[in-house]
Amino acid sequence: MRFSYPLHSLRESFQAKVFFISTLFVVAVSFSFVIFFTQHDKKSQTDQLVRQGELLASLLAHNSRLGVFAANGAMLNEAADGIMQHKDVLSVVIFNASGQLLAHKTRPGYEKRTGALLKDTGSAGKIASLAQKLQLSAHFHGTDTIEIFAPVLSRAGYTSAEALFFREQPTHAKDNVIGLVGIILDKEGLNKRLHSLVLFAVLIMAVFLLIGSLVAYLMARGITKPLNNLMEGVNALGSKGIFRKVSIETGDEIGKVAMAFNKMIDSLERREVEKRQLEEQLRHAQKMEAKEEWERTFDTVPDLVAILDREYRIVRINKAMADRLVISKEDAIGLKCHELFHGSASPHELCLCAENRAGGETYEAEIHEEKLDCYFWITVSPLKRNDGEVIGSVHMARDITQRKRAEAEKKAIQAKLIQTNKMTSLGLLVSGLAHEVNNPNNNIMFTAHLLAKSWKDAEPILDRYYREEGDFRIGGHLFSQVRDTLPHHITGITENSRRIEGIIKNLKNFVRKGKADLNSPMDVNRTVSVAASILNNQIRKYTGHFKLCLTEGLPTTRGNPQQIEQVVINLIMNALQALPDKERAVRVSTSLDSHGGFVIVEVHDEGCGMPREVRERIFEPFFSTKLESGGTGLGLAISNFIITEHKGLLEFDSEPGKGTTAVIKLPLGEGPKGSRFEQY
Amino acid sequence: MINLFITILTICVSLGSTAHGHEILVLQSLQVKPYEEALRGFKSACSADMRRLTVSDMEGADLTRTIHEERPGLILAIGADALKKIKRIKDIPIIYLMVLNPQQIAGGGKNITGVSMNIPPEKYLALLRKILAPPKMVGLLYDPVKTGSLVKKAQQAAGMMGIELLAKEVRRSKDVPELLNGMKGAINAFWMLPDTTVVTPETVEFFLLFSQEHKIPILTFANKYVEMGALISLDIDAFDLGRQAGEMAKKALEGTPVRDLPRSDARRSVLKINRNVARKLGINPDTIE
Repeated sequence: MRFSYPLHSLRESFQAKVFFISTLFVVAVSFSFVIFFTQHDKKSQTDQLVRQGELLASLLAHNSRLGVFAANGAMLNEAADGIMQHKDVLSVVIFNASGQLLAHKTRPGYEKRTGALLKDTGSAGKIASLAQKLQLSAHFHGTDTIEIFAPVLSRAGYTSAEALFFREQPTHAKDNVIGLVGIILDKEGLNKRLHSLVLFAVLIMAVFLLIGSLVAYLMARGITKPLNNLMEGVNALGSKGIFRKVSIETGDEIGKVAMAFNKMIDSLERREVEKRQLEEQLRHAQKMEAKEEWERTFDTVPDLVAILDREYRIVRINKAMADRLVISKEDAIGLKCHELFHGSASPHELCLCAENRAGGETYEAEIHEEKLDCYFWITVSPLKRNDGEVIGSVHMARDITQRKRAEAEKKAIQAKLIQTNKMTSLGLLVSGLAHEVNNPNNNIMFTAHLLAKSWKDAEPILDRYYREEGDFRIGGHLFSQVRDTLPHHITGITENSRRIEGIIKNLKNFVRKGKADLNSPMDVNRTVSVAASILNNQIRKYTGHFKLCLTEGLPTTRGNPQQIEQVVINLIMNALQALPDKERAVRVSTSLDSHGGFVIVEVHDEGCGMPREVRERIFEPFFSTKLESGGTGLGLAISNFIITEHKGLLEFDSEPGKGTTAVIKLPLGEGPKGSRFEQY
Repeated sequence: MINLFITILTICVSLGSTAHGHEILVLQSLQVKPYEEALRGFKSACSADMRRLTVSDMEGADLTRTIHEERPGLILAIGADALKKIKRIKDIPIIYLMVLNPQQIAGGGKNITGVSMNIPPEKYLALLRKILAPPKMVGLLYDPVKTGSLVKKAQQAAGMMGIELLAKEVRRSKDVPELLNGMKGAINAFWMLPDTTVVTPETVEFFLLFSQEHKIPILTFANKYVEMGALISLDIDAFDLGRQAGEMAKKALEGTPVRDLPRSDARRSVLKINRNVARKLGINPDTIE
């Protein structure tokens, strides 16, 4: 398994394939060559031996021609001895045409092997027959010998005596067979030569294999090198998209492929460049379009948007912002935001807060812009680069003034509804309470009156008794003490009872006010003057600087003069009570707001003023800062109710320490015709 | 095959021209150089119109009929085979040429005459006498059937010329070596006769080996054996033979009856010596010439 990968890669390797195929080819060629060579050479050597034998046989046949012709043993022996000198010849036999053995020579030691020849050749008849059949020569292969026979020929005799004279002989003259020679050749030498030949061939094959393998390897490398180069180029292009040209080393098909590949690379490179240029142009166009779109969007946003750098310099503002600040977008660039927006030399606290927030998160806050007198909902978002570094901030300001106002109105309406609800409840409460309280209170008052009268009658008696009898105790207290305090207590009961009665009365008035006539002609100056005169004593008590400024010629309004008078009294009393000392002034004035169609009554004091919390709650029933000093918390509630019934406005402008100005705006013209609260 | 075709064509042509008739019809046994040479000699002596036929090319053809249709004035038979083919023709004069021992073929035909290849044995004996030192013992082998008469003539002449001939009869060629070996020491020269029993390719070789081995010079009848190793030869001159026959034909054509033209032997012979062999045998060739 360890080798599976390398083997697999070898199988897949073209170079290895070429190498193996070439090597196989070389091996096949080598084997074929060796086989062919050995076979061919074996045949060649055998043929050579046979040819040699045939030559020797022919020579012997020729040499023994005369011997056979003359049946001369000596001549034949001589010829046979000559042939026997050849080392490969083991035996020689010579027969005449009738198959009679004329001569027989055998190399000493080989008698057994050569004896077979005579045995094989057999009878004289067979020899004679063989001799007649043979034209040239015949050979027979034994296991380790070759037997070769050749006919002994005698040239054709002269057909006529005349022919003896001629050099030329008739063409049809035929040689006569007069005998047969046979020789036995030893194959031992041949076999030895063949063995050494095989060894030599194997050696050659080994050398050829080595050289062939080397050549095959070099060839495979040579073939695959340009292919590998090409493949690397293709891989680089395919996997990494790298346009790498391959070196062209050959002019063959691979070289042409490489050339084509390089051309393709050139073409692809050109197309890539063109593509990039097109993409760049497209990107640029998209960017431009996106930029324009973004800028359009940026300018379309109704909110005020500004992009600042880290030094609070304006990088860009949108149209809404530019319009609001009455500055061109271009001029705003580079200006410090706090200078432009707030007119301050240092960054606005909002920016500082936003900057100090950890993590650069979006910071939101509501501010009131004094310069524009508007409310804004500010969102400050950090502007980050791709790596997260904050490079500036985006300020978005939404004008929520209208919303704020709407909310305020909504709030006021809600408060009013609450107030109305309260009033309704109060009305119901008062209706029940007045009756329930009045009866016992009347009883108390009557009882107090009786008690006072009783005390008045009893006191001289008791005083006399005191004088006569000395001091004595009544209800646990000494008469001397009681005599002085009891009348006060009785008076206190009476006053408190009256007070309760007054409150009840006021309450009843409050709930029954709707039933009052609000359509009577009303001279505001007169009403104010009456109120001031009623309070004359109180005015003197609280201030030495009371001023009444009445504008002459005010138009007559419609309403209930008593109710307005009560309101004015209430306001003047509040003003007086707010004064810390008598040096402070109270000014009551009337005026006409012809544009708004109002008659205005202003009560201004130089008192302590009201904090905001108080100011927001002054119209609530039973809300009072003077509960300890006998305030009921109903005065302003009733006053506001009255003015509202008159379709006018009661407003307060007050700051702590700066005094308070109460303004009554009564509408001119028709005036109020009735109240929704008539049922009460 | 081509030759046969040509021959048939030739016959056709000749039949076509029978009205004219050739003066001489040359019938040649073979187309060999000596025959051509002889014909050339014949033509040099006789310029008559000739037509030539070769026996070896006309195997199967009725030669006699062809010749009769040809109706030549004379037939020239070159070679023994040619003579054998036409020896039965009696009405046309026949001159033979290049035939050895014509008597054995032609018998006593009256219309037949010619020049034989035979060179008179005396010429050989004279040569032997010239080259041999005494005792002049000359061996020869012969088949009595073939060359018996020649040997008889030779023996007669030898006696007169002081040469002793040791002649042994041979019936089979294979006996030649043994008979020759039997002469070893008894002869100092060997005379090779144109006898086909004695002279075969093997015996020639044997003669030559014998000659070299025992330093016995060989006198032979054809130049080719001198080239093979014999010492000396007296050969015919084929051209002159042809010429000799041409002269004879001319006379015959001119009207001389054939029976008046006697059969004759070669009037001229050619001597050839192998000087190398002569040197080896210790003979000065110049003395021979």
